[in-house]
Amino acid sequence: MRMMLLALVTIAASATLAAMVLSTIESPALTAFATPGARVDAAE
Amino acid sequence: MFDLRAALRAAALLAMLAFPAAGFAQGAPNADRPAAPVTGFNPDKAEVHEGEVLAKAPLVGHIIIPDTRAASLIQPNGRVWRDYRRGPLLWLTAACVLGMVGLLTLFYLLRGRIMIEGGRAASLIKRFTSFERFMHWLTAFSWCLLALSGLNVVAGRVVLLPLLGNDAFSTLSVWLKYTHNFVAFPFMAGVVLMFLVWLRHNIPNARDLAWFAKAGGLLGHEHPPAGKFNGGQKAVFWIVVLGGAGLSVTGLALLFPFSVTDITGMELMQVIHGGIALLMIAAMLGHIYIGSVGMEGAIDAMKTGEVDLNWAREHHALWVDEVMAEGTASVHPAE
Amino acid sequence: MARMKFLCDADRCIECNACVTACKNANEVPWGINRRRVVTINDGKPGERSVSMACMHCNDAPCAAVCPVDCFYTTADAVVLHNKDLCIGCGYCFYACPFGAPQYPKTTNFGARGKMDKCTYCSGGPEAADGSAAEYAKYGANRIAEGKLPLCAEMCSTKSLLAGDGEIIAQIYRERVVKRGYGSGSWGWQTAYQETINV
Repeated sequence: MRMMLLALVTIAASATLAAMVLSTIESPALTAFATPGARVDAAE
Repeated sequence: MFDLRAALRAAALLAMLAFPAAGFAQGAPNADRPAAPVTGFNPDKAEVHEGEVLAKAPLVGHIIIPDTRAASLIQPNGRVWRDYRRGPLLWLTAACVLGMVGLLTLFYLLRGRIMIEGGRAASLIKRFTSFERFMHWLTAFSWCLLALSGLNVVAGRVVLLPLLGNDAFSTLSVWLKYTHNFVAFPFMAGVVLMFLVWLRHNIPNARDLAWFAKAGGLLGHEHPPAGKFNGGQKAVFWIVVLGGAGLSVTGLALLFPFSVTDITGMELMQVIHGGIALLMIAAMLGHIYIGSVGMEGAIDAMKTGEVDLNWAREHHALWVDEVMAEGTASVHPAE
Repeated sequence: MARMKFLCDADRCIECNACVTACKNANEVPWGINRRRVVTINDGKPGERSVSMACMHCNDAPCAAVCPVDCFYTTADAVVLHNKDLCIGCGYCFYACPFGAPQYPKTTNFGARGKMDKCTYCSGGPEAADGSAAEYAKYGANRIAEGKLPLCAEMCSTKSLLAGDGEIIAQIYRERVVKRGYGSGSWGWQTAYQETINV
């Protein structure tokens, strides 16, 4: 029983951590059918 | 005084007249002289026709805005993907989810709960450590959340939207989308842990073939001998590890769009991701059934880690013998 | 009611990108998003053609068909629009659209995408008040409510991009092809409306 609860807590914590980490990676605007290696050249 | 501007104007005028004249002299066809080859822009050659383009899409041209990826003009594979999503995918979902639930219900009605034939023993034997149980539930609960949030994307519009209305359903779906994206990480961790900890117990051998030949005892009252994990459990292990790996690879590709492939590749990733997921759902429904409702004494293995000794002797006799002989068995009376 | 369509006459388009600029300006489109774009095929070679491409507002729109939350709707003018409040940013309309119309602005969380944005035929969105500030902030200009046509077509320097009643612009295109003797065809019409313009 305790292991089930521990697992649930771990899932919540690690999912939140994943969200935090992913939000530090800047996501490019999804605007077109990209081919690998193609880069958006827009100046920021 | 020499008027440069007037001179230049006159020269320009002459030039403007000269060139068309030369062209005219060159290009006028008649019966005696063959037409000179057309130079420059020939509008009849290589026109952009939609039909041809569809055959060679995605067609990448030239674009002058900074977003060079937008130079693709059309991708007709989107239509194939759309047709799959609105047709075969929904049928596959119904088969894997509703079909499996139906099959299990039928099985329960016909076979009933598989009881411990010798009745409960007075003793319990330790089967799984705390860590093993933790990693199982880490994977299992993650998987359940992923399966449900994934099913919402596939079938939510058909099943839930009519019940909740657009506003509530969209709010729910956004949260389910985030759940799906982020719970993927504990799931992947759980699968890796399971693989490392349980691989040595899940190597297939001849005993498993014999176990499958007797349908694992599901259809009779025989108990084909099994070790720590029987053939069916080994199948579940490999489905989780290989299916989980497939879902992880395709899922990560979907989570980081266009990092490894183009639009057609992304559509393919999505189709494969959904396909593996549905087959896994069907398999896990069976696993969940037998581990809970379907068999008396089964849930204890993952709930407390200790199982009834008679249950262990009936379903995993070889394992009981092995740990007894090694002296690693931990048996104590049940309270 | 008029069935609104776009037609880009690829034989007239000179790749000036006035349509792209007009759209971005009129709709205050976020940086990096291009609701409309001009693609040139066979650049520099004989048979070079440029096509201005945005949402075609298809019959049986694939974006609407695959949306998991059913946030698309079609107006009385047959313009395909979507509700940004319902959009969950899943990206499926982007996979389904043959023309690459859906766009997703930069978001801070990788893969989350944000709300989908696309050409609205300058028809705004589902906000109750046509032309309100709230509607403009989310969806851009609502020129149709003012009785005007989309700005991209209005600003086209060669009148290659036509917008309006499908019957009328088909007729214009037909007359052009007859007069000049050639035509690449009504680009995108087969895919979007399941028809071509016969001359």
